Amino acid sequence: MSTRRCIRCHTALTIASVVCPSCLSRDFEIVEAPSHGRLLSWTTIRRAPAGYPVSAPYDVVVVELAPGVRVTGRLSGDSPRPMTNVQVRRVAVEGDCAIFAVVAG
Amino acid sequence: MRDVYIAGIGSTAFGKYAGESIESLAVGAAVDALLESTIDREQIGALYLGNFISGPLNGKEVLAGIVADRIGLPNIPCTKVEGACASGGIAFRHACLAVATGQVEAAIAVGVETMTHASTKQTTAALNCAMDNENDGPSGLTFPGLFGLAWRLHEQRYGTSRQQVTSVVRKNKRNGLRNPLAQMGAELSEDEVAASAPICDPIQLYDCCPISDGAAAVVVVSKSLADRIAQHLPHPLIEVLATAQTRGSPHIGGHADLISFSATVAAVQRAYEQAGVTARDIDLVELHDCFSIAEIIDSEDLGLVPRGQGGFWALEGRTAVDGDIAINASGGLLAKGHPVGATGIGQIFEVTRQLRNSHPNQVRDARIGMTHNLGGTGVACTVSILRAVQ
Repeated sequence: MSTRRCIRCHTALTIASVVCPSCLSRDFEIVEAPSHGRLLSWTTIRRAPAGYPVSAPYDVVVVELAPGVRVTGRLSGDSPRPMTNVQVRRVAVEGDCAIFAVVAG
Repeated sequence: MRDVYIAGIGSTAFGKYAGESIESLAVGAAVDALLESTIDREQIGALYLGNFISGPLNGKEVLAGIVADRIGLPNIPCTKVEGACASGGIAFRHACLAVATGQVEAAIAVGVETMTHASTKQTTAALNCAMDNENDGPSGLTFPGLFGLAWRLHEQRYGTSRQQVTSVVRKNKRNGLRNPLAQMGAELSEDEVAASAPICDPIQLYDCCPISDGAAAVVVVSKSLADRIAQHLPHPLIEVLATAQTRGSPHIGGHADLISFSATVAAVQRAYEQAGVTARDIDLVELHDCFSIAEIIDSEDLGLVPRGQGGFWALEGRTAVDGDIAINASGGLLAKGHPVGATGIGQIFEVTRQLRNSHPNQVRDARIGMTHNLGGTGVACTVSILRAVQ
Protein backbone atom coordinates (compact mmCIF):
# COMPACT_ATOMS: atom_id res chain seq x y z
CA MET A 1 0.00 0.00 0.00
CA SER A 2 1.33 3.41 -0.91
CA THR A 3 0.39 6.98 -0.14
CA ARG A 4 1.32 10.16 -1.94
CA ARG A 5 3.41 13.15 -1.02
CA CYS A 6 3.14 16.55 -2.65
CA ILE A 7 6.39 17.33 -4.46
CA ARG A 8 5.98 21.07 -3.97
CA CYS A 9 5.01 21.36 -0.28
CA HIS A 10 5.71 17.80 0.98
CA THR A 11 2.23 17.35 2.46
CA ALA A 12 1.47 13.66 2.97
CA LEU A 13 -1.84 12.63 1.40
CA THR A 14 -3.77 9.62 2.61
CA ILE A 15 -6.94 10.67 0.80
CA ALA A 16 -8.06 10.53 -2.80
CA SER A 17 -7.73 13.99 -4.35
CA VAL A 18 -6.42 15.26 -7.69
CA VAL A 19 -4.72 18.23 -6.06
CA CYS A 20 -2.78 18.85 -2.88
CA PRO A 21 -5.23 20.58 -0.49
CA SER A 22 -2.37 22.60 0.99
CA CYS A 23 -0.81 24.17 -2.15
CA LEU A 24 -3.11 22.99 -5.01
CA SER A 25 -0.20 21.36 -6.82
CA ARG A 26 -1.00 18.36 -9.00
CA ASP A 27 2.45 16.81 -8.71
CA PHE A 28 2.91 13.92 -6.31
CA GLU A 29 5.47 11.28 -5.56
CA ILE A 30 4.51 7.85 -4.36
CA VAL A 31 5.81 6.92 -0.93
CA GLU A 32 5.41 3.62 0.81
CA ALA A 33 3.00 3.98 3.73
CA PRO A 34 4.23 2.78 7.11
CA SER A 35 2.93 -0.71 7.71
CA HIS A 36 2.69 -0.36 11.49
CA GLY A 37 0.51 2.02 13.41
CA ARG A 38 -1.50 2.65 16.54
CA LEU A 39 -5.11 1.53 16.70
CA LEU A 40 -7.15 4.61 17.64
CA SER A 41 -10.57 3.00 17.73
CA TRP A 42 -12.64 0.16 16.34
CA THR A 43 -16.23 -0.90 15.89
CA THR A 44 -17.91 -4.08 14.75
CA ILE A 45 -20.24 -3.42 11.83
CA ARG A 46 -23.19 -5.80 12.03
CA ARG A 47 -25.13 -4.35 9.08
CA ALA A 48 -22.97 -3.63 6.04
CA PRO A 49 -23.73 -0.84 3.53
CA ALA A 50 -25.76 -1.98 0.51
CA GLY A 51 -23.52 -3.54 -2.11
CA TYR A 52 -20.47 -3.80 0.13
CA PRO A 53 -18.49 -6.85 -0.97
CA VAL A 54 -17.75 -8.13 2.56
CA SER A 55 -20.54 -9.59 4.65
CA ALA A 56 -21.07 -8.42 8.23
CA PRO A 57 -19.93 -8.71 10.91
CA TYR A 58 -16.52 -7.15 10.35
CA ASP A 59 -14.39 -4.72 12.35
CA VAL A 60 -13.65 -1.23 11.04
CA VAL A 61 -10.61 0.45 12.55
CA VAL A 62 -9.00 3.87 12.53
CA VAL A 63 -5.22 3.61 12.54
CA GLU A 64 -2.64 6.33 13.04
CA LEU A 65 0.31 5.47 10.81
CA ALA A 66 2.31 8.58 11.67
CA PRO A 67 1.46 11.71 13.66
CA GLY A 68 -1.64 13.16 11.98
CA VAL A 69 -1.70 10.48 9.26
CA ARG A 70 -4.83 8.40 9.82
CA VAL A 71 -6.52 5.79 7.71
CA THR A 72 -9.72 3.81 8.04
CA GLY A 73 -9.44 0.11 7.31
CA ARG A 74 -10.68 -3.27 8.43
CA LEU A 75 -9.31 -5.65 10.98
CA SER A 76 -8.20 -9.06 9.79
CA GLY A 77 -10.82 -11.70 10.54
CA ASP A 78 -8.43 -13.83 12.60
CA SER A 79 -7.15 -11.03 14.83
CA PRO A 80 -7.55 -11.42 18.56
CA ARG A 81 -10.14 -9.09 20.01
CA PRO A 82 -8.66 -5.58 19.89
CA MET A 83 -7.94 -3.80 23.13
CA THR A 84 -7.03 -0.28 24.08
CA ASN A 85 -3.60 1.06 23.11
CA VAL A 86 -2.66 -1.72 20.72
CA GLN A 87 -0.31 -1.62 17.78
CA VAL A 88 -1.47 -2.98 14.45
CA ARG A 89 0.29 -4.09 11.30
CA ARG A 90 -1.03 -3.89 7.78
CA VAL A 91 -1.27 -7.44 6.48
CA ALA A 92 -3.12 -6.97 3.19
CA VAL A 93 -4.91 -4.55 0.92
CA GLU A 94 -8.31 -5.66 -0.40
CA GLY A 95 -9.82 -3.39 -3.00
CA ASP A 96 -8.76 0.01 -1.72
CA CYS A 97 -9.07 -1.07 1.90
CA ALA A 98 -6.09 -1.69 4.17
CA ILE A 99 -6.44 -4.80 6.36
CA PHE A 100 -4.74 -4.62 9.74
CA ALA A 101 -3.92 -7.21 12.38
CA VAL A 102 -3.13 -6.67 16.05
CA VAL A 103 0.54 -7.17 16.83
CA ALA A 104 1.04 -6.14 20.46
CA GLY A 105 -0.94 -5.11 23.52
CA MET B 1 -26.32 43.18 9.44
CA ARG B 2 -29.98 43.80 10.27
CA ASP B 3 -31.85 42.15 13.12
CA VAL B 4 -33.95 39.12 12.20
CA TYR B 5 -37.09 37.86 13.95
CA ILE B 6 -39.09 34.65 13.82
CA ALA B 7 -42.70 35.57 13.06
CA GLY B 8 -44.24 32.18 12.34
CA ILE B 9 -43.51 28.47 12.64
CA GLY B 10 -45.16 25.29 11.42
CA SER B 11 -44.45 21.59 11.67
CA THR B 12 -46.01 18.26 10.92
CA ALA B 13 -45.64 15.56 13.54
CA PHE B 14 -42.55 13.48 12.74
CA GLY B 15 -43.30 9.84 11.99
CA LYS B 16 -44.73 7.71 9.22
CA TYR B 17 -46.97 9.15 6.51
CA ALA B 18 -47.92 6.29 4.23
CA GLY B 19 -49.17 7.55 0.89
CA GLU B 20 -48.52 11.26 1.52
CA SER B 21 -46.27 13.01 -0.96
CA ILE B 22 -43.16 14.89 0.10
CA GLU B 23 -44.72 18.05 -1.37
CA SER B 24 -47.85 17.72 0.75
CA LEU B 25 -45.85 17.52 4.00
CA ALA B 26 -43.73 20.52 3.05
CA VAL B 27 -46.78 22.52 2.01
CA GLY B 28 -48.60 21.72 5.26
CA ALA B 29 -45.75 23.02 7.40
CA ALA B 30 -45.15 26.05 5.16
CA VAL B 31 -48.79 27.13 5.21
CA ASP B 32 -48.92 26.82 9.02
CA ALA B 33 -45.81 29.01 9.34
CA LEU B 34 -47.16 31.57 6.86
CA LEU B 35 -50.57 31.85 8.50
CA GLU B 36 -49.04 32.07 11.95
CA SER B 37 -46.75 34.89 10.85
CA THR B 38 -49.81 36.92 9.73
CA ILE B 39 -47.79 38.42 6.88
CA ASP B 40 -49.02 38.57 3.33
CA ARG B 41 -47.57 36.06 0.87
CA GLU B 42 -46.50 38.94 -1.40
CA GLN B 43 -44.07 40.02 1.31
CA ILE B 44 -42.09 36.77 1.19
CA GLY B 45 -38.95 37.58 -0.82
CA ALA B 46 -37.16 34.22 -0.80
CA LEU B 47 -37.73 30.54 -0.06
CA TYR B 48 -35.04 28.11 1.03
CA LEU B 49 -35.83 24.43 1.23
CA GLY B 50 -33.66 22.03 3.23
CA ASN B 51 -33.73 18.49 1.91
CA PHE B 52 -31.16 15.72 1.59
CA ILE B 53 -32.35 12.76 -0.47
CA SER B 54 -35.59 13.54 -2.29
CA GLY B 55 -33.79 12.59 -5.50
CA PRO B 56 -32.77 9.01 -4.66
CA LEU B 57 -35.78 8.19 -2.43
CA ASN B 58 -38.59 10.05 -4.22
CA GLY B 59 -37.26 10.76 -7.70
CA LYS B 60 -38.05 14.43 -7.11
CA GLU B 61 -35.93 17.56 -7.24
CA VAL B 62 -36.66 21.30 -7.65
CA LEU B 63 -38.77 20.95 -4.52
CA ALA B 64 -38.20 24.58 -3.53
CA GLY B 65 -39.96 25.85 -6.64
CA ILE B 66 -42.67 23.19 -6.38
CA VAL B 67 -43.53 24.13 -2.79
CA ALA B 68 -43.59 27.86 -3.67
CA ASP B 69 -45.90 27.09 -6.59
CA ARG B 70 -48.30 25.08 -4.41
CA ILE B 71 -48.62 27.84 -1.82
CA GLY B 72 -48.93 30.66 -4.33
CA LEU B 73 -45.75 32.55 -3.53
CA PRO B 74 -44.74 35.30 -5.97
CA ASN B 75 -41.98 34.96 -8.56
CA ILE B 76 -39.16 34.91 -6.01
CA PRO B 77 -35.87 33.01 -5.78
CA CYS B 78 -36.55 29.49 -4.49
CA THR B 79 -33.51 27.41 -3.61
CA LYS B 80 -33.03 23.90 -2.33
CA VAL B 81 -29.99 23.56 -0.07
CA GLU B 82 -28.29 20.31 0.87
CA GLY B 83 -25.84 19.56 3.66
CA ALA B 84 -26.90 16.01 4.58
CA CYS B 85 -28.44 16.02 8.07
CA ALA B 86 -27.67 19.76 8.42
CA SER B 87 -29.76 20.70 5.35
CA GLY B 88 -32.55 22.23 7.45
CA GLY B 89 -30.20 24.32 9.58
CA ILE B 90 -28.52 25.61 6.43
CA ALA B 91 -31.89 26.56 4.89
CA PHE B 92 -32.76 28.50 8.05
CA ARG B 93 -29.44 30.32 8.00
CA HIS B 94 -29.88 31.33 4.36
CA ALA B 95 -33.37 32.68 5.05
CA CYS B 96 -31.95 34.71 7.96
CA LEU B 97 -29.10 35.99 5.78
CA ALA B 98 -31.49 37.13 3.06
CA VAL B 99 -33.28 39.28 5.63
CA ALA B 100 -30.17 40.35 7.57
CA THR B 101 -28.43 41.61 4.43
CA GLY B 102 -31.44 43.65 3.38
CA GLN B 103 -32.20 41.62 0.26
CA VAL B 104 -35.73 40.87 1.45
CA GLU B 105 -38.09 41.90 4.26
CA ALA B 106 -39.30 38.34 4.86
CA ALA B 107 -38.17 34.84 3.91
CA ILE B 108 -39.43 31.33 4.53
CA ALA B 109 -37.31 28.28 5.27
CA VAL B 110 -38.88 24.85 4.82
CA GLY B 111 -37.32 21.50 5.68
CA VAL B 112 -38.71 18.19 4.51
CA GLU B 113 -37.87 14.52 4.07
CA THR B 114 -39.85 11.35 3.42
CA MET B 115 -38.02 8.09 4.03
CA THR B 116 -40.31 5.47 5.55
CA HIS B 117 -41.78 4.40 2.19
CA ALA B 118 -38.38 3.12 1.05
CA SER B 119 -36.79 -0.19 2.04
CA THR B 120 -34.13 -0.10 4.75
CA LYS B 121 -31.59 -1.04 2.08
CA GLN B 122 -32.58 1.91 -0.14
CA THR B 123 -32.61 4.30 2.81
CA THR B 124 -29.24 3.15 4.10
CA ALA B 125 -27.72 3.48 0.64
CA ALA B 126 -29.16 6.99 0.25
CA LEU B 127 -27.96 8.09 3.70
CA ASN B 128 -24.50 6.75 2.91
CA CYS B 129 -24.30 9.39 0.15
CA ALA B 130 -23.35 11.77 2.98
CA MET B 131 -20.00 10.01 3.42
CA ASP B 132 -16.77 10.81 1.65
CA ASN B 133 -17.11 7.48 -0.11
CA GLU B 134 -13.98 8.00 -2.16
CA ASN B 135 -12.05 7.78 1.10
CA ASP B 136 -14.13 6.08 3.79
CA GLY B 137 -16.20 3.83 1.52
CA PRO B 138 -13.64 1.04 1.00
CA SER B 139 -13.50 0.23 4.74
CA GLY B 140 -17.23 -0.55 4.88
CA LEU B 141 -17.85 2.11 7.52
CA THR B 142 -21.44 3.19 8.18
CA PHE B 143 -22.84 6.20 10.07
CA PRO B 144 -23.61 4.20 13.21
CA GLY B 145 -20.08 2.83 12.79
CA LEU B 146 -18.57 6.31 12.98
CA PHE B 147 -20.32 6.86 16.30
CA GLY B 148 -19.31 3.39 17.49
CA LEU B 149 -15.68 4.45 16.91
CA ALA B 150 -16.29 7.68 18.81
CA TRP B 151 -18.03 5.90 21.69
CA ARG B 152 -15.05 3.56 22.29
CA LEU B 153 -12.65 6.50 22.41
CA HIS B 154 -14.91 8.47 24.76
CA GLU B 155 -15.15 5.42 26.99
CA GLN B 156 -11.37 4.96 27.01
CA ARG B 157 -10.55 8.59 27.69
CA TYR B 158 -13.27 9.63 30.10
CA GLY B 159 -14.69 6.41 31.51
CA THR B 160 -18.07 6.92 29.86
CA SER B 161 -20.23 3.90 30.69
CA ARG B 162 -23.10 2.05 29.01
CA GLN B 163 -25.29 3.19 31.91
CA GLN B 164 -24.44 6.85 31.25
CA VAL B 165 -25.16 6.57 27.53
CA THR B 166 -28.37 4.71 28.30
CA SER B 167 -29.45 7.62 30.47
CA VAL B 168 -29.38 9.84 27.35
CA VAL B 169 -31.67 7.40 25.54
CA ARG B 170 -34.06 7.15 28.48
CA LYS B 171 -34.21 10.93 28.97
CA ASN B 172 -34.90 11.71 25.31
CA LYS B 173 -37.44 8.92 24.92
CA ARG B 174 -39.19 10.17 28.06
CA ASN B 175 -39.16 13.76 26.75
CA GLY B 176 -40.66 12.44 23.53
CA LEU B 177 -43.67 11.14 25.46
CA ARG B 178 -44.52 14.73 26.33
CA ASN B 179 -44.17 16.02 22.77
CA PRO B 180 -47.20 15.27 20.54
CA LEU B 181 -45.01 15.78 17.45
CA ALA B 182 -42.58 13.03 18.51
CA GLN B 183 -42.43 9.73 16.64
CA MET B 184 -41.14 7.43 19.38
CA GLY B 185 -41.59 8.62 22.92
CA ALA B 186 -41.25 5.80 25.44
CA GLU B 187 -40.56 4.97 29.04
CA LEU B 188 -37.64 2.56 28.77
CA SER B 189 -35.76 0.59 31.41
CA GLU B 190 -31.97 0.23 31.36
CA ASP B 191 -32.45 -3.44 30.56
CA GLU B 192 -34.66 -2.73 27.56
CA VAL B 193 -32.02 -0.44 26.07
CA ALA B 194 -29.24 -2.95 26.80
CA ALA B 195 -31.25 -5.81 25.29
CA SER B 196 -32.00 -4.02 22.00
CA ALA B 197 -30.46 -5.39 18.81
CA PRO B 198 -26.73 -4.79 18.26
CA ILE B 199 -26.09 -2.47 15.28
CA CYS B 200 -22.36 -1.83 15.45
CA ASP B 201 -20.64 -2.26 18.79
CA PRO B 202 -21.23 -0.67 21.20
CA ILE B 203 -24.24 0.93 19.44
CA GLN B 204 -27.57 -0.86 19.78
CA LEU B 205 -30.94 -0.19 18.24
CA TYR B 206 -32.19 2.22 20.93
CA ASP B 207 -28.99 4.24 20.55
CA CYS B 208 -30.10 5.16 17.01
CA CYS B 209 -32.68 7.69 15.85
CA PRO B 210 -35.56 6.24 13.83
CA ILE B 211 -36.21 6.64 10.10
CA SER B 212 -38.86 9.35 9.73
CA ASP B 213 -41.05 11.45 7.51
CA GLY B 214 -41.84 15.04 8.36
CA ALA B 215 -41.63 18.72 7.54
CA ALA B 216 -41.13 21.99 9.40
CA ALA B 217 -41.11 25.64 8.33
CA VAL B 218 -40.28 29.07 9.72
CA VAL B 219 -40.95 32.61 8.51
CA VAL B 220 -38.29 35.18 9.38
CA VAL B 221 -38.76 38.93 9.04
CA SER B 222 -36.84 42.20 9.33
CA LYS B 223 -37.16 44.50 12.34
CA SER B 224 -39.29 46.98 10.46
CA LEU B 225 -41.73 44.28 9.37
CA ALA B 226 -41.65 42.76 12.86
CA ASP B 227 -42.56 46.14 14.37
CA ARG B 228 -45.52 46.44 11.99
CA ILE B 229 -46.98 43.00 12.77
CA ALA B 230 -46.10 42.85 16.48
CA GLN B 231 -49.35 44.41 17.70
CA HIS B 232 -51.71 41.91 16.11
CA LEU B 233 -49.42 38.88 16.36
CA PRO B 234 -50.99 36.34 18.75
CA HIS B 235 -47.58 35.16 19.99
CA PRO B 236 -44.30 36.85 20.95
CA LEU B 237 -41.61 37.48 18.34
CA ILE B 238 -38.37 35.57 18.76
CA GLU B 239 -35.08 37.27 17.91
CA VAL B 240 -32.39 35.39 15.96
CA LEU B 241 -29.27 36.42 17.88
CA ALA B 242 -26.91 34.32 15.78
CA THR B 243 -26.80 31.72 13.05
CA ALA B 244 -23.43 30.26 12.11
CA GLN B 245 -22.38 27.61 9.62
CA THR B 246 -19.04 25.84 9.35
CA ARG B 247 -17.27 23.00 7.58
CA GLY B 248 -15.38 20.08 9.08
CA SER B 249 -13.58 17.14 7.55
CA PRO B 250 -15.70 14.99 5.23
CA HIS B 251 -13.57 11.91 5.97
CA ILE B 252 -12.67 10.16 9.19
CA GLY B 253 -8.91 10.53 8.88
CA GLY B 254 -9.25 14.31 8.67
CA HIS B 255 -10.67 14.71 12.17
CA ALA B 256 -8.02 15.80 14.64
CA ASP B 257 -9.95 14.01 17.37
CA LEU B 258 -12.67 11.44 16.75
CA ILE B 259 -14.62 12.52 19.82
CA SER B 260 -14.95 16.16 18.91
CA PHE B 261 -16.38 17.69 15.75
CA SER B 262 -14.32 20.73 14.78
CA ALA B 263 -17.28 22.06 12.75
CA THR B 264 -19.39 22.18 15.92
CA VAL B 265 -16.65 23.80 17.99
CA ALA B 266 -16.08 26.48 15.32
CA ALA B 267 -19.78 27.10 14.70
CA VAL B 268 -20.62 27.59 18.36
CA GLN B 269 -17.67 29.93 18.87
CA ARG B 270 -18.92 32.10 16.00
CA ALA B 271 -22.48 31.93 17.26
CA TYR B 272 -21.50 32.98 20.79
CA GLU B 273 -19.52 35.91 19.34
CA GLN B 274 -22.35 37.00 17.06
CA ALA B 275 -24.91 36.74 19.82
CA GLY B 276 -22.74 38.32 22.52
CA VAL B 277 -23.58 35.52 24.93
CA THR B 278 -21.68 32.64 26.53
CA ALA B 279 -22.56 29.01 27.18
CA ARG B 280 -23.75 30.00 30.65
CA ASP B 281 -26.51 32.15 29.13
CA ILE B 282 -28.07 29.22 27.26
CA ASP B 283 -31.20 27.89 28.97
CA LEU B 284 -31.95 25.05 26.58
CA VAL B 285 -30.58 23.41 23.47
CA GLU B 286 -31.92 21.19 20.72
CA LEU B 287 -28.80 19.36 19.55
CA HIS B 288 -28.02 16.71 16.98
CA ASP B 289 -28.45 13.40 18.83
CA CYS B 290 -28.54 11.16 15.75
CA PHE B 291 -27.04 8.55 18.09
CA SER B 292 -27.04 8.54 21.90
CA ILE B 293 -23.27 9.05 22.16
CA ALA B 294 -23.57 12.01 19.77
CA GLU B 295 -25.54 13.95 22.39
CA ILE B 296 -22.69 13.51 24.86
CA ILE B 297 -20.07 14.64 22.33
CA ASP B 298 -22.20 17.55 21.07
CA SER B 299 -22.94 18.84 24.58
CA GLU B 300 -19.20 19.00 25.23
CA ASP B 301 -18.34 20.52 21.83
CA LEU B 302 -20.95 23.23 22.40
CA GLY B 303 -19.30 24.15 25.71
CA LEU B 304 -22.51 23.42 27.62
CA VAL B 305 -20.97 20.55 29.60
CA PRO B 306 -17.30 20.29 30.62
CA ARG B 307 -15.20 18.09 28.30
CA GLY B 308 -15.52 14.44 29.27
CA GLN B 309 -18.46 15.07 31.61
CA GLY B 310 -21.30 14.55 29.11
CA GLY B 311 -22.10 11.03 30.31
CA PHE B 312 -21.91 11.99 33.99
CA TRP B 313 -24.21 14.99 33.50
CA ALA B 314 -26.76 12.88 31.64
CA LEU B 315 -26.83 10.18 34.33
CA GLU B 316 -27.12 12.76 37.12
CA GLY B 317 -30.14 14.36 35.43
CA ARG B 318 -28.35 17.65 34.83
CA THR B 319 -29.45 17.68 31.17
CA ALA B 320 -33.13 16.96 31.92
CA VAL B 321 -35.87 19.54 31.41
CA ASP B 322 -35.42 20.72 35.01
CA GLY B 323 -31.62 20.28 34.99
CA ASP B 324 -28.69 22.71 34.68
CA ILE B 325 -29.07 22.79 30.90
CA ALA B 326 -32.15 21.29 29.23
CA ILE B 327 -30.96 19.16 26.31
CA ASN B 328 -33.50 17.97 23.73
CA ALA B 329 -36.69 18.64 25.69
CA SER B 330 -38.48 17.77 22.43
CA GLY B 331 -37.17 14.22 22.59
CA GLY B 332 -34.41 15.04 20.11
CA LEU B 333 -33.69 13.00 17.02
CA LEU B 334 -33.75 9.84 19.17
CA ALA B 335 -37.43 10.20 20.11
CA LYS B 336 -38.90 13.00 18.03
CA GLY B 337 -37.45 11.46 14.87
CA HIS B 338 -35.07 12.50 12.12
CA PRO B 339 -36.69 13.35 8.78
CA VAL B 340 -33.24 14.47 7.68
CA GLY B 341 -33.91 17.70 5.77
CA ALA B 342 -36.61 18.77 8.25
CA THR B 343 -34.61 18.22 11.43
CA GLY B 344 -32.75 21.54 11.59
CA ILE B 345 -35.93 23.56 11.12
CA GLY B 346 -37.78 21.25 13.51
CA GLN B 347 -35.18 22.28 16.11
CA ILE B 348 -35.91 25.96 15.43
CA PHE B 349 -39.64 25.16 15.80
CA GLU B 350 -39.05 23.48 19.17
CA VAL B 351 -36.84 26.23 20.61
CA THR B 352 -39.26 28.91 19.39
CA ARG B 353 -42.10 27.23 21.25
CA GLN B 354 -39.94 27.05 24.38
CA LEU B 355 -39.09 30.76 24.16
CA ARG B 356 -42.76 31.58 23.61
CA ASN B 357 -43.39 29.68 26.85
CA SER B 358 -45.83 27.42 25.01
CA HIS B 359 -44.02 24.08 24.76
CA PRO B 360 -45.75 20.89 25.95
CA ASN B 361 -42.52 19.98 27.75
CA GLN B 362 -41.70 23.51 28.87
CA VAL B 363 -38.31 24.49 30.30
CA ARG B 364 -38.92 26.92 33.13
CA ASP B 365 -37.81 30.54 32.59
CA ALA B 366 -36.48 29.80 29.08
CA ARG B 367 -35.06 33.04 27.67
CA ILE B 368 -32.19 32.01 25.38
CA GLY B 369 -32.14 28.79 23.36
CA MET B 370 -29.74 27.15 20.93
CA THR B 371 -30.02 24.73 18.01
CA HIS B 372 -27.22 22.50 16.70
CA ASN B 373 -27.52 20.63 13.41
CA LEU B 374 -24.65 18.42 12.17
CA GLY B 375 -24.31 16.88 8.71
CA GLY B 376 -22.36 13.95 7.29
CA THR B 377 -19.36 12.84 9.28
CA GLY B 378 -19.16 16.37 10.69
CA VAL B 379 -18.64 18.04 7.30
CA ALA B 380 -21.37 20.66 7.82
CA CYS B 381 -22.68 22.27 10.97
CA THR B 382 -25.07 25.05 11.89
CA VAL B 383 -25.58 26.59 15.31
CA SER B 384 -28.27 29.19 15.95
CA ILE B 385 -29.08 31.17 19.08
CA LEU B 386 -32.57 32.55 19.67
CA ARG B 387 -33.92 34.89 22.33
CA ALA B 388 -37.37 35.73 23.58
CA VAL B 389 -38.19 39.39 22.90
CA GLN B 390 -39.04 41.08 26.16
